[in-house]
Amino acid sequence: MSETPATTKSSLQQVREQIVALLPRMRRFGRAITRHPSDADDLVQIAIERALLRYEQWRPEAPFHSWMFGIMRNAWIDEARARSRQGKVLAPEEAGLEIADNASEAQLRMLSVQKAMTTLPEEQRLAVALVLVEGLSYKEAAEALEVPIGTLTSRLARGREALQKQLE
Amino acid sequence: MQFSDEILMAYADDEVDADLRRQIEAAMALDPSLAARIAKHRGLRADVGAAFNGVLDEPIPDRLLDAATSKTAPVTDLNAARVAKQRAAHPRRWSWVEWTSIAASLVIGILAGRTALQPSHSDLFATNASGVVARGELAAALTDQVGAPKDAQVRIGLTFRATSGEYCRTFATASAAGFACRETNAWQVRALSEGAAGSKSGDYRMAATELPPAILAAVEQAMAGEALDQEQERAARARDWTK
Repeated sequence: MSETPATTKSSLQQVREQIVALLPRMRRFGRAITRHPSDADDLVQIAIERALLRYEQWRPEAPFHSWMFGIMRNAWIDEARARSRQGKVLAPEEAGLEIADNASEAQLRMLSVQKAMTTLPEEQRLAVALVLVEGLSYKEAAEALEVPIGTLTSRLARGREALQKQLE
Repeated sequence: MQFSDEILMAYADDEVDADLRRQIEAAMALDPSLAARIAKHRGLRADVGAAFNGVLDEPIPDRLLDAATSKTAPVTDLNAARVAKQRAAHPRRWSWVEWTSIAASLVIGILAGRTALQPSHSDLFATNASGVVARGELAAALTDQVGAPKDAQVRIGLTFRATSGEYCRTFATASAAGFACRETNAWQVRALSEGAAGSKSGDYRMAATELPPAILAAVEQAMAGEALDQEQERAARARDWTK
Protein backbone atom coordinates (compact mmCIF):
# COMPACT_ATOMS: atom_id res chain seq x y z
CA MET A 1 0.00 0.00 0.00
CA SER A 2 2.89 2.31 0.73
CA GLU A 3 3.86 2.25 -2.92
CA THR A 4 0.55 3.63 -4.14
CA PRO A 5 1.25 7.06 -5.61
CA ALA A 6 -0.30 10.00 -3.80
CA THR A 7 -2.39 11.02 -6.80
CA THR A 8 -4.26 7.73 -7.13
CA LYS A 9 -4.67 7.55 -3.40
CA SER A 10 -6.40 10.90 -3.39
CA SER A 11 -8.70 9.95 -6.26
CA LEU A 12 -9.64 6.74 -4.47
CA GLN A 13 -10.37 8.84 -1.42
CA GLN A 14 -12.41 11.19 -3.58
CA VAL A 15 -14.47 8.31 -4.95
CA ARG A 16 -15.08 7.01 -1.42
CA GLU A 17 -16.36 10.41 -0.36
CA GLN A 18 -18.59 10.73 -3.39
CA ILE A 19 -20.04 7.29 -2.69
CA VAL A 20 -20.85 8.19 0.90
CA ALA A 21 -22.55 11.38 -0.26
CA LEU A 22 -24.52 9.48 -2.89
CA LEU A 23 -25.56 6.55 -0.65
CA PRO A 24 -29.11 7.77 0.06
CA ARG A 25 -29.77 8.13 -3.65
CA MET A 26 -28.11 4.82 -4.49
CA ARG A 27 -30.47 3.16 -2.03
CA ARG A 28 -33.44 4.95 -3.56
CA PHE A 29 -32.40 3.97 -7.09
CA GLY A 30 -31.88 0.40 -5.89
CA ARG A 31 -35.34 0.36 -4.40
CA ALA A 32 -36.81 1.61 -7.65
CA ILE A 33 -35.16 -0.99 -9.90
CA THR A 34 -35.16 -4.19 -7.83
CA ARG A 35 -38.39 -6.05 -7.65
CA HIS A 36 -37.73 -7.16 -4.11
CA PRO A 37 -36.99 -4.31 -1.70
CA SER A 38 -34.63 -6.56 0.25
CA ASP A 39 -32.43 -6.86 -2.82
CA ALA A 40 -31.84 -3.13 -3.08
CA ASP A 41 -29.17 -2.75 -0.41
CA ASP A 42 -27.36 -5.86 -1.59
CA LEU A 43 -27.18 -4.31 -5.01
CA VAL A 44 -25.86 -1.06 -3.52
CA GLN A 45 -23.15 -2.95 -1.65
CA ILE A 46 -21.99 -4.75 -4.75
CA ALA A 47 -21.95 -1.54 -6.74
CA ILE A 48 -19.81 0.13 -4.06
CA GLU A 49 -17.30 -2.67 -4.22
CA ARG A 50 -17.20 -2.66 -7.99
CA ALA A 51 -16.79 1.13 -8.02
CA LEU A 52 -13.85 0.94 -5.63
CA LEU A 53 -12.21 -1.65 -7.85
CA ARG A 54 -12.53 0.61 -10.86
CA TYR A 55 -12.25 3.97 -9.23
CA GLU A 56 -9.64 4.98 -11.78
CA GLN A 57 -12.25 4.82 -14.52
CA TRP A 58 -14.22 7.69 -13.09
CA ARG A 59 -13.36 11.02 -14.67
CA PRO A 60 -14.01 14.02 -12.41
CA GLU A 61 -15.42 15.94 -15.38
CA ALA A 62 -18.25 13.41 -15.73
CA PRO A 63 -21.13 13.45 -13.22
CA PHE A 64 -20.35 10.95 -10.49
CA HIS A 65 -23.95 9.83 -10.15
CA SER A 66 -24.18 8.80 -13.84
CA TRP A 67 -21.10 6.66 -13.43
CA MET A 68 -22.30 5.11 -10.19
CA PHE A 69 -25.84 4.44 -11.41
CA GLY A 70 -24.30 2.85 -14.49
CA ILE A 71 -22.36 0.46 -12.26
CA MET A 72 -25.54 -0.37 -10.35
CA ARG A 73 -27.38 -1.00 -13.58
CA ASN A 74 -24.65 -3.34 -14.82
CA ALA A 75 -24.57 -5.23 -11.54
CA TRP A 76 -28.32 -5.59 -11.68
CA ILE A 77 -28.27 -6.87 -15.24
CA ASP A 78 -25.54 -9.38 -14.34
CA GLU A 79 -27.73 -10.64 -11.55
CA ALA A 80 -30.75 -10.95 -13.81
CA ARG A 81 -28.64 -12.99 -16.26
CA ALA A 82 -27.24 -15.18 -13.53
CA ARG A 83 -30.71 -15.88 -12.27
CA SER A 84 -32.08 -16.73 -15.66
CA ARG A 85 -29.08 -18.98 -16.38
CA GLN A 86 -29.84 -20.83 -13.19
CA GLY A 87 -33.41 -21.14 -14.35
CA LYS A 88 -34.80 -19.18 -11.46
CA VAL A 89 -37.96 -17.44 -12.39
CA LEU A 90 -38.43 -14.11 -10.74
CA ALA A 91 -41.64 -14.08 -8.83
CA PRO A 92 -43.78 -11.00 -9.17
CA GLU A 93 -43.49 -8.60 -6.28
CA GLU A 94 -45.74 -9.50 -3.42
CA ALA A 95 -44.11 -7.88 -0.43
CA GLY A 96 -45.02 -4.44 0.76
CA LEU A 97 -48.64 -4.70 -0.16
CA GLU A 98 -50.18 -5.20 3.22
CA ILE A 99 -52.23 -2.07 3.23
CA ALA A 100 -53.32 -0.77 6.58
CA ASP A 101 -56.99 0.07 6.98
CA ASN A 102 -56.13 3.61 7.83
CA ALA A 103 -53.70 4.12 4.93
CA SER A 104 -54.00 7.59 3.50
CA GLU A 105 -54.76 8.36 -0.09
CA ALA A 106 -51.11 9.34 -0.57
CA GLN A 107 -49.84 6.09 0.93
CA LEU A 108 -52.14 4.08 -1.30
CA ARG A 109 -50.88 5.99 -4.29
CA MET A 110 -47.27 5.31 -3.31
CA LEU A 111 -47.90 1.61 -2.97
CA SER A 112 -49.66 1.35 -6.28
CA VAL A 113 -46.84 3.22 -8.02
CA GLN A 114 -44.26 0.90 -6.44
CA LYS A 115 -46.24 -2.10 -7.52
CA ALA A 116 -46.69 -0.78 -11.04
CA MET A 117 -42.93 -0.20 -11.30
CA THR A 118 -42.26 -3.86 -10.62
CA THR A 119 -44.31 -4.86 -13.65
CA LEU A 120 -42.28 -2.83 -16.14
CA PRO A 121 -39.74 -4.56 -18.36
CA GLU A 122 -36.21 -4.11 -17.02
CA GLU A 123 -35.13 -1.55 -19.61
CA GLN A 124 -38.13 0.66 -19.11
CA ARG A 125 -37.89 0.46 -15.34
CA LEU A 126 -34.26 1.56 -15.45
CA ALA A 127 -35.09 4.54 -17.67
CA VAL A 128 -38.03 5.56 -15.47
CA ALA A 129 -35.98 5.19 -12.29
CA LEU A 130 -33.11 7.31 -13.57
CA VAL A 131 -35.23 10.14 -14.94
CA LEU A 132 -38.36 10.22 -12.78
CA VAL A 133 -36.98 8.95 -9.49
CA GLU A 134 -33.39 10.19 -9.63
CA GLY A 135 -34.06 13.29 -11.72
CA LEU A 136 -31.23 12.70 -14.17
CA SER A 137 -31.29 14.59 -17.45
CA TYR A 138 -31.93 12.52 -20.56
CA LYS A 139 -28.26 12.89 -21.46
CA GLU A 140 -27.04 11.67 -18.08
CA ALA A 141 -29.51 8.79 -18.03
CA ALA A 142 -28.50 7.73 -21.55
CA GLU A 143 -24.86 7.72 -20.45
CA ALA A 144 -25.61 5.64 -17.37
CA LEU A 145 -27.46 3.10 -19.52
CA GLU A 146 -24.90 3.28 -22.34
CA VAL A 147 -27.58 3.87 -24.99
CA PRO A 148 -28.29 6.74 -27.41
CA ILE A 149 -30.66 9.43 -26.18
CA GLY A 150 -33.34 8.34 -28.65
CA THR A 151 -33.34 4.86 -27.14
CA LEU A 152 -33.58 6.29 -23.67
CA THR A 153 -36.54 8.54 -24.55
CA SER A 154 -38.44 5.76 -26.26
CA ARG A 155 -37.95 3.42 -23.26
CA LEU A 156 -38.98 6.23 -20.96
CA ALA A 157 -42.09 7.00 -23.01
CA ARG A 158 -43.15 3.35 -23.12
CA GLY A 159 -42.51 2.92 -19.43
CA ARG A 160 -44.54 5.97 -18.57
CA GLU A 161 -47.38 4.90 -20.77
CA ALA A 162 -47.50 1.50 -19.09
CA LEU A 163 -47.42 3.07 -15.63
CA GLN A 164 -50.14 5.53 -16.55
CA LYS A 165 -52.38 2.74 -17.79
CA GLN A 166 -52.00 0.78 -14.59
CA LEU A 167 -52.54 3.73 -12.33
CA GLU A 168 -55.63 5.09 -14.01
CA MET B 1 -49.81 21.91 -34.71
CA GLN B 2 -49.46 18.29 -33.66
CA PHE B 3 -47.00 17.21 -31.00
CA SER B 4 -46.09 13.62 -30.36
CA ASP B 5 -46.49 12.29 -26.87
CA GLU B 6 -42.74 11.91 -26.68
CA ILE B 7 -42.28 15.64 -27.33
CA LEU B 8 -44.84 16.53 -24.68
CA MET B 9 -43.07 14.18 -22.30
CA ALA B 10 -39.78 15.94 -23.00
CA TYR B 11 -41.46 19.28 -22.41
CA ALA B 12 -42.81 18.05 -19.08
CA ASP B 13 -39.27 16.92 -18.18
CA ASP B 14 -37.81 20.27 -19.18
CA GLU B 15 -35.81 18.66 -21.97
CA VAL B 16 -36.83 20.74 -25.01
CA ASP B 17 -34.97 23.71 -26.42
CA ALA B 18 -36.28 27.25 -26.19
CA ASP B 19 -37.77 27.28 -29.70
CA LEU B 20 -39.77 24.15 -29.23
CA ARG B 21 -40.84 25.27 -25.80
CA ARG B 22 -42.30 28.47 -27.26
CA GLN B 23 -44.16 26.51 -29.93
CA ILE B 24 -45.62 24.12 -27.39
CA GLU B 25 -46.66 26.90 -25.06
CA ALA B 26 -48.32 28.79 -27.90
CA ALA B 27 -50.22 25.64 -28.89
CA MET B 28 -51.21 24.98 -25.27
CA ALA B 29 -52.86 28.37 -25.09
CA LEU B 30 -55.14 27.33 -27.95
CA ASP B 31 -55.66 23.71 -27.03
CA PRO B 32 -56.49 22.81 -23.43
CA SER B 33 -56.17 19.08 -24.18
CA LEU B 34 -52.48 19.65 -24.81
CA ALA B 35 -52.08 21.23 -21.40
CA ALA B 36 -53.95 18.29 -19.87
CA ARG B 37 -51.60 15.77 -21.51
CA ILE B 38 -48.59 17.64 -20.19
CA ALA B 39 -50.14 17.85 -16.74
CA LYS B 40 -50.57 14.10 -16.81
CA HIS B 41 -46.87 13.60 -17.54
CA ARG B 42 -45.95 15.95 -14.73
CA GLY B 43 -48.38 14.26 -12.36
CA LEU B 44 -46.89 10.85 -13.06
CA ARG B 45 -43.38 12.22 -12.59
CA ALA B 46 -44.37 13.61 -9.20
CA ASP B 47 -46.09 10.36 -8.19
CA VAL B 48 -43.18 8.15 -9.17
CA GLY B 49 -40.75 10.44 -7.35
CA ALA B 50 -42.94 10.48 -4.25
CA ALA B 51 -43.20 6.70 -4.21
CA PHE B 52 -39.47 6.31 -3.56
CA ASN B 53 -38.44 9.53 -1.83
CA GLY B 54 -39.05 8.04 1.60
CA VAL B 55 -35.89 5.97 1.18
CA LEU B 56 -33.80 9.14 1.45
CA ASP B 57 -34.86 9.63 5.06
CA GLU B 58 -34.00 6.11 6.18
CA PRO B 59 -30.80 5.59 8.14
CA ILE B 60 -27.98 4.19 6.00
CA PRO B 61 -27.11 0.62 7.01
CA ASP B 62 -23.65 0.37 8.57
CA ARG B 63 -22.55 -2.31 6.17
CA LEU B 64 -22.91 0.12 3.26
CA LEU B 65 -20.96 2.85 5.02
CA ASP B 66 -18.31 0.28 5.90
CA ALA B 67 -18.13 -0.88 2.32
CA ALA B 68 -17.58 2.69 1.14
CA THR B 69 -15.13 3.85 3.76
CA SER B 70 -13.27 0.97 5.35
CA LYS B 71 -9.61 0.66 4.57
CA THR B 72 -8.50 -2.53 2.94
CA ALA B 73 -7.19 -5.14 5.32
CA PRO B 74 -4.92 -8.03 4.38
CA VAL B 75 -6.67 -10.42 2.06
CA THR B 76 -7.22 -13.33 4.37
CA ASP B 77 -8.39 -11.21 7.29
CA LEU B 78 -10.75 -9.25 5.12
CA ASN B 79 -12.20 -12.39 3.68
CA ALA B 80 -12.70 -14.06 7.03
CA ALA B 81 -14.06 -10.95 8.68
CA ARG B 82 -16.51 -10.25 5.94
CA VAL B 83 -17.83 -13.75 5.70
CA ALA B 84 -18.30 -13.90 9.46
CA LYS B 85 -19.92 -10.51 9.56
CA GLN B 86 -22.28 -11.16 6.71
CA ARG B 87 -23.34 -14.54 7.99
CA ALA B 88 -24.08 -13.09 11.40
CA ALA B 89 -25.78 -9.92 10.38
CA HIS B 90 -27.37 -10.54 7.03
CA PRO B 91 -28.68 -13.97 6.30
CA ARG B 92 -29.99 -13.66 2.78
CA ARG B 93 -31.92 -15.40 0.14
CA TRP B 94 -29.24 -15.07 -2.49
CA SER B 95 -25.78 -16.35 -2.26
CA TRP B 96 -24.88 -14.05 -5.12
CA VAL B 97 -24.36 -11.01 -2.99
CA GLU B 98 -22.15 -12.61 -0.46
CA TRP B 99 -19.85 -14.17 -2.91
CA THR B 100 -19.65 -11.28 -5.28
CA SER B 101 -18.74 -8.92 -2.53
CA ILE B 102 -16.30 -11.37 -1.10
CA ALA B 103 -14.71 -11.90 -4.48
CA ALA B 104 -14.55 -8.16 -5.05
CA SER B 105 -12.99 -7.67 -1.64
CA LEU B 106 -10.36 -10.23 -2.34
CA VAL B 107 -9.37 -8.46 -5.46
CA ILE B 108 -9.41 -5.14 -3.67
CA GLY B 109 -7.11 -6.68 -1.15
CA ILE B 110 -4.78 -7.85 -3.83
CA LEU B 111 -4.74 -4.61 -5.75
CA ALA B 112 -4.32 -2.38 -2.76
CA GLY B 113 -1.91 -4.65 -0.98
CA ARG B 114 0.61 -5.33 -3.69
CA THR B 115 3.45 -5.33 -1.27
CA ALA B 116 1.51 -7.39 1.21
CA LEU B 117 1.68 -10.63 -0.74
CA GLN B 118 3.22 -13.35 1.33
CA PRO B 119 6.93 -13.74 0.61
CA SER B 120 6.31 -17.44 0.21
CA HIS B 121 4.23 -16.58 -2.84
CA SER B 122 6.66 -14.26 -4.50
CA ASP B 123 7.83 -17.14 -6.64
CA LEU B 124 4.27 -17.63 -7.95
CA PHE B 125 2.90 -14.11 -8.22
CA ALA B 126 4.17 -10.83 -9.55
CA THR B 127 2.49 -7.49 -9.94
CA ASN B 128 2.11 -5.44 -13.07
CA ALA B 129 0.24 -2.26 -13.96
CA SER B 130 -3.14 -3.98 -13.94
CA GLY B 131 -2.75 -6.10 -10.83
CA VAL B 132 -1.33 -9.51 -10.08
CA VAL B 133 0.01 -11.93 -12.66
CA ALA B 134 1.14 -15.52 -12.37
CA ARG B 135 4.84 -16.34 -12.59
CA GLY B 136 7.13 -19.26 -12.13
CA GLU B 137 5.53 -22.65 -11.63
CA LEU B 138 2.07 -21.16 -11.48
CA ALA B 139 2.45 -19.52 -14.88
CA ALA B 140 3.93 -22.72 -16.27
CA ALA B 141 1.10 -24.84 -14.92
CA LEU B 142 -1.54 -22.46 -16.24
CA THR B 143 0.04 -22.59 -19.68
CA ASP B 144 0.93 -26.29 -19.87
CA GLN B 145 -1.05 -28.41 -17.44
CA VAL B 146 -3.77 -30.55 -18.99
CA GLY B 147 -4.86 -33.67 -17.20
CA ALA B 148 -3.92 -34.79 -13.73
CA PRO B 149 -0.46 -33.64 -12.66
CA LYS B 150 1.80 -35.82 -10.56
CA ASP B 151 3.11 -34.19 -7.41
CA ALA B 152 2.80 -30.77 -8.92
CA GLN B 153 3.11 -27.73 -6.70
CA VAL B 154 0.21 -26.19 -8.60
CA ARG B 155 -3.00 -27.96 -9.53
CA ILE B 156 -5.15 -26.65 -12.33
CA GLY B 157 -8.86 -27.23 -11.90
CA LEU B 158 -11.39 -25.92 -14.36
CA THR B 159 -10.71 -24.21 -17.64
CA PHE B 160 -13.39 -21.95 -19.03
CA ARG B 161 -13.95 -18.92 -21.21
CA ALA B 162 -14.79 -15.63 -19.57
CA THR B 163 -17.75 -13.63 -20.77
CA SER B 164 -15.21 -11.33 -22.42
CA GLY B 165 -13.79 -14.26 -24.40
CA GLU B 166 -10.41 -15.01 -22.86
CA TYR B 167 -9.46 -18.37 -21.42
CA CYS B 168 -9.36 -18.66 -17.66
CA ARG B 169 -8.21 -21.45 -15.38
CA THR B 170 -8.64 -22.10 -11.70
CA PHE B 171 -5.62 -23.11 -9.68
CA ALA B 172 -4.82 -24.31 -6.19
CA THR B 173 -1.47 -24.42 -4.45
CA ALA B 174 -0.64 -25.51 -0.92
CA SER B 175 -1.52 -22.08 0.40
CA ALA B 176 -3.53 -20.21 -2.19
CA ALA B 177 -6.35 -20.70 -4.67
CA GLY B 178 -7.94 -18.59 -7.33
CA PHE B 179 -8.28 -18.19 -11.03
CA ALA B 180 -6.35 -16.42 -13.73
CA CYS B 181 -7.21 -15.42 -17.27
CA ARG B 182 -4.95 -15.33 -20.29
CA GLU B 183 -4.27 -11.80 -21.39
CA THR B 184 -1.83 -10.64 -24.04
CA ASN B 185 1.37 -11.66 -22.35
CA ALA B 186 0.44 -13.02 -18.99
CA TRP B 187 -2.01 -14.91 -16.83
CA GLN B 188 -3.78 -12.16 -14.98
CA VAL B 189 -5.00 -13.27 -11.57
CA ARG B 190 -8.63 -12.26 -11.28
CA ALA B 191 -9.38 -13.69 -7.87
CA LEU B 192 -7.12 -15.04 -5.19
CA SER B 193 -7.71 -16.41 -1.77
CA GLU B 194 -4.76 -17.05 0.43
CA GLY B 195 -4.61 -19.72 3.04
CA ALA B 196 -6.55 -22.23 0.94
CA ALA B 197 -5.09 -25.67 1.18
CA GLY B 198 -5.20 -27.85 -1.89
CA SER B 199 -6.40 -31.35 -1.20
CA LYS B 200 -4.44 -34.47 -1.91
CA SER B 201 -7.24 -35.91 -3.98
CA GLY B 202 -6.01 -37.64 -7.08
CA ASP B 203 -8.87 -36.61 -9.32
CA TYR B 204 -7.90 -33.30 -10.75
CA ARG B 205 -11.45 -32.58 -11.93
CA MET B 206 -12.39 -32.52 -8.31
CA ALA B 207 -10.01 -29.65 -7.85
CA ALA B 208 -12.91 -27.30 -8.31
CA THR B 209 -14.33 -28.44 -5.03
CA GLU B 210 -11.12 -27.48 -3.27
CA LEU B 211 -11.71 -23.88 -4.14
CA PRO B 212 -13.10 -21.57 -1.48
CA PRO B 213 -16.75 -20.70 -2.14
CA ALA B 214 -15.85 -17.08 -2.87
CA ILE B 215 -13.54 -18.16 -5.68
CA LEU B 216 -16.00 -20.67 -7.07
CA ALA B 217 -18.64 -18.02 -7.07
CA ALA B 218 -16.34 -15.56 -8.80
CA VAL B 219 -15.71 -18.25 -11.41
CA GLU B 220 -19.41 -18.77 -11.90
CA GLN B 221 -19.80 -15.04 -12.36
CA ALA B 222 -16.98 -14.78 -14.90
CA MET B 223 -17.77 -17.92 -16.86
CA ALA B 224 -19.48 -17.94 -20.23
CA GLY B 225 -20.94 -21.34 -21.07
CA GLU B 226 -19.51 -24.61 -19.79
CA ALA B 227 -16.07 -25.59 -18.57
CA LEU B 228 -13.79 -27.07 -21.23
CA ASP B 229 -13.14 -30.79 -21.42
CA GLN B 230 -9.61 -32.14 -21.78
CA GLU B 231 -9.72 -32.24 -25.54
CA GLN B 232 -10.84 -28.63 -25.71
CA GLU B 233 -8.15 -27.70 -23.23
CA ARG B 234 -5.52 -29.27 -25.47
CA ALA B 235 -6.88 -27.43 -28.48
CA ALA B 236 -6.83 -24.12 -26.61
CA ARG B 237 -3.31 -24.80 -25.39
CA ALA B 238 -2.24 -25.51 -28.98
CA ARG B 239 -3.47 -22.03 -29.90
CA ASP B 240 -1.51 -20.62 -26.98
CA TRP B 241 -4.75 -19.71 -25.21
CA THR B 242 -5.55 -16.95 -27.64
CA LYS B 243 -9.22 -15.94 -27.80
